[in-house]
Amino acid sequence: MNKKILTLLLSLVLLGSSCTKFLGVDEVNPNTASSVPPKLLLPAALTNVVKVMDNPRNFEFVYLWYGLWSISNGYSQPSALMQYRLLNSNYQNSFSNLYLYGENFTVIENSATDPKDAGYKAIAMIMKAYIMHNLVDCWGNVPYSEAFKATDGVLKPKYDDQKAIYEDCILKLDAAIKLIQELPADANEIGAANDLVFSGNMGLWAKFANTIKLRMLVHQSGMTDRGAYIKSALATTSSVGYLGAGEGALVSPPFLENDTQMNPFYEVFYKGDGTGQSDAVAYYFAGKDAVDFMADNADPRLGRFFQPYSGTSYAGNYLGQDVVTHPPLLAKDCSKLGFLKGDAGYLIGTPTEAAPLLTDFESLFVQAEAFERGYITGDGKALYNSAVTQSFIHMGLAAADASTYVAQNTNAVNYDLANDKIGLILTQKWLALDGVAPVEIWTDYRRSGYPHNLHFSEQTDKANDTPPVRLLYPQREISVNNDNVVAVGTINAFTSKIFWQNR
Amino acid sequence: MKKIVLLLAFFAIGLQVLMAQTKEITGKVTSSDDGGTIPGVSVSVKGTTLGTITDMDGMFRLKVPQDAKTLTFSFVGLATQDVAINGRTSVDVKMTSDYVAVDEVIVTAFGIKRKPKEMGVATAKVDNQELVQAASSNVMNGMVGKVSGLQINTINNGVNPDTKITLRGNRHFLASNQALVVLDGVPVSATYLNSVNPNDIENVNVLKGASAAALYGNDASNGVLIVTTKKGDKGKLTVKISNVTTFEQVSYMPNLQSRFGSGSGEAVGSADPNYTFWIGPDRNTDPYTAYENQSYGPEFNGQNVILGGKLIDGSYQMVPYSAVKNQKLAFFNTGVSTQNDISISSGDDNGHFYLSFQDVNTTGTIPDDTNRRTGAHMAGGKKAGIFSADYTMSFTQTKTSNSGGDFNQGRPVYWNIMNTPGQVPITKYKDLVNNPFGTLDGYFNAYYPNPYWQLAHSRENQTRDDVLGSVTLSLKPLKWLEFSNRTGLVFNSIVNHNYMDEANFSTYSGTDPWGAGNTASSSTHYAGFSNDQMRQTMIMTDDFLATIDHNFGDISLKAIAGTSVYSQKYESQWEYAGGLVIPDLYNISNRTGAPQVAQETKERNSIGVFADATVGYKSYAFLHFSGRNDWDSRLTKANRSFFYPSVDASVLLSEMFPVIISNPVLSFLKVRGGWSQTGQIALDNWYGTLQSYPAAAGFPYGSTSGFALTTTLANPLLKPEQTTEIELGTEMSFLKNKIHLEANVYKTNTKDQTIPAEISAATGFIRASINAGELENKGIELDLKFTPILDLGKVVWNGSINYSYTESKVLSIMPGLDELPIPLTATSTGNNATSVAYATVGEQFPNIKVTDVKRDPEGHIIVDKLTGLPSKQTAIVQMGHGNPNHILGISTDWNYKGFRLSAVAEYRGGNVIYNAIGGGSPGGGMDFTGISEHSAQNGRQSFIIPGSVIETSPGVYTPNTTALVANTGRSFWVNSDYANTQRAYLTSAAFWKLREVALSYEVPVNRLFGGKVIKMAEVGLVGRNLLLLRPKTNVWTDPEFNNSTSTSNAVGYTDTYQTPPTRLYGFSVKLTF
Repeated sequence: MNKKILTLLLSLVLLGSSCTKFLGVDEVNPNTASSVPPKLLLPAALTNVVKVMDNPRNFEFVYLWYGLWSISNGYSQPSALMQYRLLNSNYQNSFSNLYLYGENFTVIENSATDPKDAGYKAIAMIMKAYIMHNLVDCWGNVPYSEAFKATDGVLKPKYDDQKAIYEDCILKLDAAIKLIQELPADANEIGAANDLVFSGNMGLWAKFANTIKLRMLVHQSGMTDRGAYIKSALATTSSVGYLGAGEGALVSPPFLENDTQMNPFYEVFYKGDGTGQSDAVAYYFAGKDAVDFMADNADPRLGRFFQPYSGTSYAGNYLGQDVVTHPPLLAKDCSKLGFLKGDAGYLIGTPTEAAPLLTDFESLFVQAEAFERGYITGDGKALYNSAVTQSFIHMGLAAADASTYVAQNTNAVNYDLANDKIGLILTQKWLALDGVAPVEIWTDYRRSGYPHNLHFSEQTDKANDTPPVRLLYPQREISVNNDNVVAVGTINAFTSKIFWQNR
Repeated sequence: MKKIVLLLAFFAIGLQVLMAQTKEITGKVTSSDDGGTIPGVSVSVKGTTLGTITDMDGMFRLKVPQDAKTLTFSFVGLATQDVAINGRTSVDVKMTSDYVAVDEVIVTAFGIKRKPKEMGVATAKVDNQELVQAASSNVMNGMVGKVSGLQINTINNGVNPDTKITLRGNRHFLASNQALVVLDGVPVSATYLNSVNPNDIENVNVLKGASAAALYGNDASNGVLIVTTKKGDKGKLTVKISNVTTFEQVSYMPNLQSRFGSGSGEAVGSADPNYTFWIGPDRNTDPYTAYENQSYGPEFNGQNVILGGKLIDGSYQMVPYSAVKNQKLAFFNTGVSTQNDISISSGDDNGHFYLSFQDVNTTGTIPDDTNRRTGAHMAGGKKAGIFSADYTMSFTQTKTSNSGGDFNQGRPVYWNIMNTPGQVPITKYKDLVNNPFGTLDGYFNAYYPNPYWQLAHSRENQTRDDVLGSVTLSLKPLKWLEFSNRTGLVFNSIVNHNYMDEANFSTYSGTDPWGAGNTASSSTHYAGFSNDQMRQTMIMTDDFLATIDHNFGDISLKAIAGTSVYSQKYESQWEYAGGLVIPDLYNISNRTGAPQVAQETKERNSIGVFADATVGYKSYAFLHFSGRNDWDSRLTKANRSFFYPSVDASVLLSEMFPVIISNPVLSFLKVRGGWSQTGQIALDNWYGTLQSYPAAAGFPYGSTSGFALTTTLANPLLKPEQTTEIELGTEMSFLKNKIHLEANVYKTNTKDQTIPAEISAATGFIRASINAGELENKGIELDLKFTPILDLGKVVWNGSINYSYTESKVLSIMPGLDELPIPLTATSTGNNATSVAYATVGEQFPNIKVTDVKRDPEGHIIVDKLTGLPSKQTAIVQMGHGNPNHILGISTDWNYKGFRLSAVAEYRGGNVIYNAIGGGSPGGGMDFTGISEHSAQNGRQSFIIPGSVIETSPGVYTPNTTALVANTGRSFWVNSDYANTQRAYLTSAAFWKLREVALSYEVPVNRLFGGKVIKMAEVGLVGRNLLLLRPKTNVWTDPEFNNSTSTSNAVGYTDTYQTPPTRLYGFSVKLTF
């Protein structure tokens, strides 16, 4: 009898446990992992950020508003862009995507709890600072202290003061540099397959962090009473140095010539099957300001940024030319972006080349400006010449071509002849960053007004004389987080300046 | 040995032949109402298939076995009668009409059979004859218009059309509203019915509301269709063969203009004058452009003009500049569908057997589109003492080939037809090789390809295999006690091979010799691709039931307890290769670059325990309860268990108080009501409670792998959507059951909808799945069946009318959110709108909102006082809703001396539809191409927008009598805000359709051959969708269509992905041996 009861009980237990198993099939997902170690998150997080920053569609407004590119004389002119009319729905994907990819760095930062993984933690902190300051540069006050906290139940993060975000990011960069400096001897190696930027060279990550910090501090140079803060902030990590020639922060998975796997800039123009081109090739044309500046100064980069429309002739348009009174050039009379598909050293570049987070020449230009402003010590002329040289090399030209170029007898290029050295640096930086760092081009113009004499839209019905000074908060945020957006106050695209803009 | 004998006997059932002495019985069948004779009445020996039908004079003559005891007389619309022979050789019978089929049973959940009088909730039954009367090869088409509360939409035409089935409207915002289909006891998706041979179906029981279906627990909230296949009838071997051949033709095109040819003006000044020239006085507007897809050229004048441009050899084609008659219609073929059937049926008191085979071969109205469905179905059973066993088994293969998108923009064939101006003799370009003007380089259209290219070079091929089997074992140890267990298995495999060949233009075309800015010059080459997917679904079910059926004096009790185990496994693999190298070889190994691949495997399991009891008192009052608890693997452990209760009651007042029917008018009266709660787990992702890190876009890059978080925040607290339904109904019969009326009202409230709510991206996610929101659905259903009171002599006329009123209203979504786009990923207002449907709090669902121009408070279009043009307004405007409020179905049949004429018509109304096929530039419809009658309504002359107003001072509007739209052609119909907003193309979606007309004649074979070889022969003519009536404003297409899939709730939108409506007609021959 007891035996029977035992058998019954045993079979009930067995039934119970098989039920648990039967109903537990969805507790483990066979298709995707439910957690992933930092080393496997890092490659995608880095690539995704550069896909946002390097995609020309996301920041076409900078290239178009500031004389670098124009639109062909086709039938679909982006009239809102030409009229400087921004909508809340414009460019909102960049906002979303930067936060979405920032979340991946947050996961890396939070899951790299082992001291041996401090390197991953440092990289995540550096990249978050990079993401956050780009968000601030475009949108001003944005969620920060309550951002990336969905798993803690914060679904409507408040908007923080932009200056406070900047300051905290600089502290985070300091902390990241400190983590790198104090990495344990037995730290887990971060390989080239994980660190797609510096292949695990943590010294370069520290320099990158310090360069981002320098960039952020130089952004504030136009503000009054900020000099002491800038100098003391720089002093804490001055020993680390900045990215030098050949040390650009470029992401390389490496890109491949397949659809969805190509360099994000190139991908907008050409297809991955080796044959087709997209309509962007026939859509973006040369900007007349850029063509004129290069033509005036015998700049060999002209043929690299743009294609000759015939023989060796180059021409560009100003933005928003009136079809009747001042018609833009027909497609056949105007330069396209350079150059034939897949050629290295041209603006469109190759499908497989690394995509820049921050180039060496940008770092050098920033250092040159910081020197002129007295923030750092060094050799201003050497920094400037090196910056121009690295831009020439990036555009497929020789260092010797750069030497010839900067030695010309004109204050537009020659450091020694230039009275306005900051103007010289920022004008050269504007050109060099074409196709590389649009947000920085925009930021430099807003904070400094360089380059001077750019031609703004010739559209008669434009909303404002000069381009907007910021992007408008995403329509998505207004839909789902409106209370916090409203709390920021009224936003005007032409007057609600980013905190560092003092002009 | 005994077992082997038993087994042999089991399989030999179908072969047994009754060997017995016979005698002949004659007789006459008359109507009890008027005494007239009734032809066509089926007379059979009860328990056998021996039988005949009455002739034109109501007489029959039948040889029966000596030991035959009873004859059964049956006829549609009349009460079936069993008459004892009692040794007679002459049996005369009077038959009465009867709609209260007392002996009929309703099959409810888990095959539980209940008598209609016990039912406290609304059900309906469609039997085989009704289903196949118009020879539809698709089960769903055979159901349309026949049951109140049932809405079936053919959402697109085609050789294997997709249908959407809903019962009593919508209950869910985003989750599927399609009814659950239970086929021979196994729950399958509604689309599975496309694989079922309608001739195999014994009947379809429709459990309209959740109440009747609550016993199915999860997934039952949308109502259930219980499909029962044939099992084999008692009697000797019967063989049926039939052929149905139908023809399908486009019934009408959208209204087209035939006044203006190619031109779009943009080439002024830049094109080669050889190909662009002007006709008429004004050379600067709307020139004829020989290679243009848009029809904004000058008016036709009959002169010979160049079409397209010069080829490399200098040749070019000339056509008369006049409209080709029926040009676009001529592109479409007459589709032919040939349906061949054979079935074998046999049975006796202890066993039954059924076997069928069907082949349906269909060609489409779009040339080269084909579908072939071949299937076999087998069922049988054996009873041995207290044991019985039944099985069904079916196998179906469906092979479909449809044309794919074009190489340039991936547009459907219909789009490229629409971009063919009226003077182009389109059917001449079928030959893509030998006709130089049909080739890629030589085709006249510089911007869109020859549609025949895409028929030949871009295909979507699918092979679908379905296997369904079920075995039921029953044990009935006592008269009132039965145990049964059903095990079911469904295996479904879908293999897609889609491909497109490369398109290589010549170097000559690439230089753009026509000065057109042609496709070839902007992209000289399009790579071919191969896009393959394999999907497998395996469903296994096991249901165990213990049934007690016993009477205790005046009290009857039927109680059931059971368990239900369900397991579904799904596997899919997808691969894509662009850049095919060797032509005509569609294999991903034949490529450049890396292939794209994906894999998904998923499993869901559930266990249900249920009980169901019906208590009856004196056969006139019934109370029914059911309760079920489910445990479902898709939810986390804490939320996995759910209870679904239901209760309903029925009282036959006419039996309870006989005084009620002691009058000549009312003959039957029943009232009933029910309440239930059901749930639906609305997780597309069965692992949706887990956070997930798939491979990031683009990864792996060679040897570099990378993963990223999904952008939807997982919610481990998710629970099922909960539907509470209450319904009340009555059934009554009048005039000796000649008129039968059934009326229901119901209300369902579905709360805790699963909403992937948008959240601030600054959280690191853009969506979070939550339970929120409530949708209320109310309705009225009326079913009226009648035989006419009039004496029509030998003509027997039956009719039925069903009407449903349905109203779905969104009560709430979530705090701070009062609108959701449906589907969530829809782009509703941009250049490529994919949906105009929304869930909006306080409005009917789905709410249709479209872009519009500015209007005054009375709705008049405000135009500029100088240009006469309206301007776009920012807000999108609400225009109505996408689902019809009113559905009216009318069925009728007349029987006369072996002839049967039946017809089904249906009306739907109360809803609106956005016909994107009509629109201007964004979206690119017929006004964009300029072939629409709409765009030629003013003869391309200046006009005043009818009813427009001018704002003279802020808020003051005066009728516009002066401001003419100067842009007469392209610039207005393509580019103005009028043509670029959606409202101008939104119309009422109301329609009347003549769904079915069938005429059959039962050949009196018993006279011809004495009934020895052929027992029955029937020939028939069938027609479906012969007529469609729409409001005059809808000049575009069939508003039943929709540009989404059957599981989407985004209705109210059609475009060029839906081909024109068709009508079908054909003939059938059926023989029974």
